[in-house]
Amino acid sequence: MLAPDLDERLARFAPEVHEVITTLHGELWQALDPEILELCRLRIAGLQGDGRESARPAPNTPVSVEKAAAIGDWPDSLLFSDRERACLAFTEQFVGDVAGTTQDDVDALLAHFSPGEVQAFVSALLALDQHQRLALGLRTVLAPQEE
Amino acid sequence: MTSFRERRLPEPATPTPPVAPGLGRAIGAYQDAVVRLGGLDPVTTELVRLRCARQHQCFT
Repeated sequence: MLAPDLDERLARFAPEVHEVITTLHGELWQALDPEILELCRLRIAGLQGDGRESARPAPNTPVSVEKAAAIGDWPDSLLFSDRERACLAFTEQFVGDVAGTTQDDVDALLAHFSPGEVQAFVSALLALDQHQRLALGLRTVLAPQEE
Repeated sequence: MTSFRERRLPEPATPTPPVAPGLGRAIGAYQDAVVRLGGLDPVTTELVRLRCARQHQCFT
Protein backbone atom coordinates (compact mmCIF):
# COMPACT_ATOMS: atom_id res chain seq x y z
CA MET A 1 0.00 0.00 0.00
CA LEU A 2 1.44 3.32 -1.08
CA ALA A 3 1.16 6.59 0.81
CA PRO A 4 -2.21 8.06 -0.26
CA ASP A 5 -0.81 11.20 -1.87
CA LEU A 6 1.87 9.27 -3.76
CA ASP A 7 -0.74 6.76 -4.87
CA GLU A 8 -2.94 9.52 -6.26
CA ARG A 9 -0.12 11.45 -7.97
CA LEU A 10 1.42 8.42 -9.64
CA ALA A 11 -1.97 7.26 -10.88
CA ARG A 12 -2.47 10.69 -12.41
CA PHE A 13 1.00 11.47 -13.80
CA ALA A 14 2.65 8.07 -14.39
CA PRO A 15 0.04 5.29 -14.51
CA GLU A 16 2.54 2.83 -16.02
CA VAL A 17 4.77 3.27 -12.96
CA HIS A 18 1.83 3.33 -10.56
CA GLU A 19 0.90 -0.24 -11.40
CA VAL A 20 4.37 -1.74 -10.98
CA ILE A 21 5.26 0.20 -7.83
CA THR A 22 1.98 -0.93 -6.26
CA THR A 23 2.95 -4.54 -7.02
CA LEU A 24 6.42 -3.91 -5.62
CA HIS A 25 5.02 -2.60 -2.36
CA GLY A 26 2.85 -5.66 -2.01
CA GLU A 27 5.79 -8.00 -2.59
CA LEU A 28 8.36 -6.35 -0.36
CA TRP A 29 6.70 -7.56 2.82
CA GLN A 30 7.58 -11.14 1.82
CA ALA A 31 11.31 -10.36 2.10
CA LEU A 32 11.71 -10.69 5.86
CA ASP A 33 9.79 -10.64 9.13
CA PRO A 34 7.21 -7.90 8.34
CA GLU A 35 7.47 -6.50 11.86
CA ILE A 36 11.17 -5.80 11.27
CA LEU A 37 10.37 -4.20 7.92
CA GLU A 38 7.75 -2.02 9.58
CA LEU A 39 10.32 -0.86 12.14
CA CYS A 40 12.64 0.02 9.26
CA ARG A 41 9.84 1.88 7.45
CA LEU A 42 9.22 3.96 10.56
CA ARG A 43 12.94 4.62 11.04
CA ILE A 44 13.31 5.79 7.43
CA ALA A 45 10.37 8.15 7.94
CA GLY A 46 12.04 9.56 11.04
CA LEU A 47 15.39 10.00 9.31
CA GLN A 48 13.77 11.78 6.37
CA GLY A 49 11.63 13.95 8.64
CA ASP A 50 8.46 12.65 7.03
CA GLY A 51 5.85 13.05 9.74
CA ARG A 52 3.06 12.05 7.38
CA GLU A 53 4.73 8.69 6.68
CA SER A 54 5.43 8.16 10.38
CA ALA A 55 1.79 8.76 11.24
CA ARG A 56 0.07 6.76 8.54
CA PRO A 57 -1.28 3.30 9.41
CA ALA A 58 1.13 0.41 8.94
CA PRO A 59 0.82 -0.87 5.36
CA ASN A 60 1.30 -4.47 6.53
CA THR A 61 2.08 -5.53 10.10
CA PRO A 62 1.78 -2.92 12.84
CA VAL A 63 4.31 -2.78 15.66
CA SER A 64 3.45 -1.98 19.26
CA VAL A 65 2.79 1.63 20.17
CA GLU A 66 5.72 1.48 22.61
CA LYS A 67 8.16 0.31 19.96
CA ALA A 68 6.95 2.79 17.40
CA ALA A 69 7.40 5.60 19.92
CA ALA A 70 10.92 4.43 20.80
CA ILE A 71 12.12 3.91 17.23
CA GLY A 72 14.43 6.94 17.27
CA ASP A 73 16.02 5.74 20.51
CA TRP A 74 16.55 2.13 19.43
CA PRO A 75 20.27 2.07 20.34
CA ASP A 76 19.44 2.71 24.01
CA SER A 77 16.00 1.15 24.25
CA LEU A 78 15.54 -2.32 25.73
CA LEU A 79 12.51 -2.97 23.53
CA PHE A 80 14.46 -4.07 20.46
CA SER A 81 16.00 -7.48 19.80
CA ASP A 82 19.50 -8.00 18.40
CA ARG A 83 18.01 -8.91 15.01
CA GLU A 84 15.99 -5.71 14.95
CA ARG A 85 19.04 -3.68 16.00
CA ALA A 86 21.13 -5.11 13.18
CA CYS A 87 18.43 -4.19 10.66
CA LEU A 88 17.89 -0.71 12.09
CA ALA A 89 21.64 0.00 12.09
CA PHE A 90 21.87 -1.09 8.47
CA THR A 91 18.82 1.03 7.62
CA GLU A 92 20.45 4.13 9.07
CA GLN A 93 23.61 3.55 7.05
CA PHE A 94 21.59 2.82 3.91
CA VAL A 95 19.48 5.96 4.18
CA GLY A 96 22.27 8.27 5.34
CA ASP A 97 25.12 7.15 3.08
CA VAL A 98 24.42 4.07 1.00
CA ALA A 99 27.75 4.36 -0.80
CA GLY A 100 29.51 4.16 2.57
CA THR A 101 28.09 0.74 3.43
CA THR A 102 30.91 -1.56 4.53
CA GLN A 103 31.49 -5.28 4.77
CA ASP A 104 31.12 -4.92 8.55
CA ASP A 105 27.60 -3.57 8.02
CA VAL A 106 26.74 -6.59 5.89
CA ASP A 107 28.41 -9.02 8.29
CA ALA A 108 26.29 -7.63 11.14
CA LEU A 109 23.22 -8.74 9.19
CA LEU A 110 24.77 -12.11 8.30
CA ALA A 111 25.12 -12.81 12.04
CA HIS A 112 21.32 -13.09 12.14
CA PHE A 113 20.14 -13.86 8.61
CA SER A 114 21.08 -16.09 5.68
CA PRO A 115 22.70 -14.50 2.62
CA GLY A 116 19.42 -14.88 0.75
CA GLU A 117 17.52 -13.15 3.53
CA VAL A 118 20.06 -10.33 3.57
CA GLN A 119 19.69 -9.85 -0.18
CA ALA A 120 15.90 -9.80 0.16
CA PHE A 121 16.06 -7.40 3.11
CA VAL A 122 18.28 -4.92 1.26
CA SER A 123 15.96 -5.10 -1.75
CA ALA A 124 12.97 -4.34 0.49
CA LEU A 125 14.89 -1.50 2.11
CA LEU A 126 15.61 -0.03 -1.32
CA ALA A 127 11.89 -0.08 -2.14
CA LEU A 128 10.88 1.47 1.19
CA ASP A 129 13.53 4.20 0.95
CA GLN A 130 12.67 5.05 -2.67
CA HIS A 131 8.95 5.19 -1.85
CA GLN A 132 9.46 7.75 0.88
CA ARG A 133 11.92 9.86 -1.12
CA LEU A 134 9.55 9.84 -4.08
CA ALA A 135 6.56 10.78 -1.94
CA LEU A 136 8.47 13.60 -0.26
CA GLY A 137 9.87 14.88 -3.54
CA LEU A 138 6.54 14.94 -5.33
CA ARG A 139 4.86 16.49 -2.29
CA THR A 140 7.45 19.26 -2.21
CA VAL A 141 7.36 19.96 -5.93
CA LEU A 142 3.69 19.46 -6.73
CA ALA A 143 1.75 20.37 -3.60
CA PRO A 144 2.27 24.15 -3.94
CA GLN A 145 0.98 23.99 -7.53
CA GLU A 146 -2.03 21.95 -6.50
CA GLU A 147 -3.20 24.40 -3.86
CA MET B 1 39.22 -3.09 3.30
CA THR B 2 36.55 -4.28 0.89
CA SER B 3 36.82 -3.06 -2.67
CA PHE B 4 33.68 -1.85 -4.38
CA ARG B 5 33.42 -4.88 -6.64
CA GLU B 6 34.16 -7.53 -4.04
CA ARG B 7 31.19 -9.81 -3.40
CA ARG B 8 29.75 -8.98 0.01
CA LEU B 9 27.46 -11.98 0.41
CA PRO B 10 28.98 -15.49 0.45
CA GLU B 11 28.16 -17.78 -2.44
CA PRO B 12 25.82 -20.58 -1.33
CA ALA B 13 27.40 -24.04 -1.28
CA THR B 14 24.48 -25.36 -3.28
CA PRO B 15 21.99 -23.55 -5.54
CA THR B 16 19.46 -21.83 -3.32
CA PRO B 17 16.09 -20.45 -4.45
CA PRO B 18 15.63 -16.73 -3.81
CA VAL B 19 13.93 -15.82 -0.54
CA ALA B 20 11.48 -13.41 -2.16
CA PRO B 21 11.38 -14.11 -5.92
CA GLY B 22 8.35 -11.90 -6.43
CA LEU B 23 10.23 -8.95 -4.96
CA GLY B 24 13.13 -9.36 -7.39
CA ARG B 25 10.74 -9.52 -10.32
CA ALA B 26 8.82 -6.49 -9.05
CA ILE B 27 11.98 -4.38 -8.71
CA GLY B 28 12.95 -5.29 -12.27
CA ALA B 29 9.51 -4.38 -13.59
CA TYR B 30 9.57 -1.09 -11.69
CA GLN B 31 12.99 -0.11 -13.05
CA ASP B 32 11.95 -1.05 -16.58
CA ALA B 33 8.80 1.07 -16.31
CA VAL B 34 10.74 4.05 -14.98
CA VAL B 35 13.32 4.11 -17.78
CA ARG B 36 10.55 3.80 -20.37
CA LEU B 37 8.79 6.95 -19.12
CA GLY B 38 8.55 9.52 -21.87
CA GLY B 39 8.50 12.74 -19.87
CA LEU B 40 12.29 13.04 -19.84
CA ASP B 41 14.56 12.68 -22.87
CA PRO B 42 16.50 9.38 -23.09
CA VAL B 43 19.95 10.91 -22.56
CA THR B 44 18.94 12.66 -19.34
CA THR B 45 17.18 9.50 -18.17
CA GLU B 46 20.34 7.49 -18.78
CA LEU B 47 22.48 10.05 -16.95
CA VAL B 48 20.17 9.80 -13.93
CA ARG B 49 20.26 5.98 -14.11
CA LEU B 50 24.08 5.98 -14.16
CA ARG B 51 24.24 8.46 -11.27
CA CYS B 52 21.94 6.25 -9.19
CA ALA B 53 24.02 3.18 -10.06
CA ARG B 54 27.20 4.89 -8.90
CA GLN B 55 25.52 6.03 -5.68
CA HIS B 56 24.49 2.44 -4.96
CA GLN B 57 27.81 0.95 -6.11
CA CYS B 58 25.89 -1.10 -8.65
CA PHE B 59 28.08 -2.37 -11.48
CA THR B 60 25.70 -4.81 -13.14
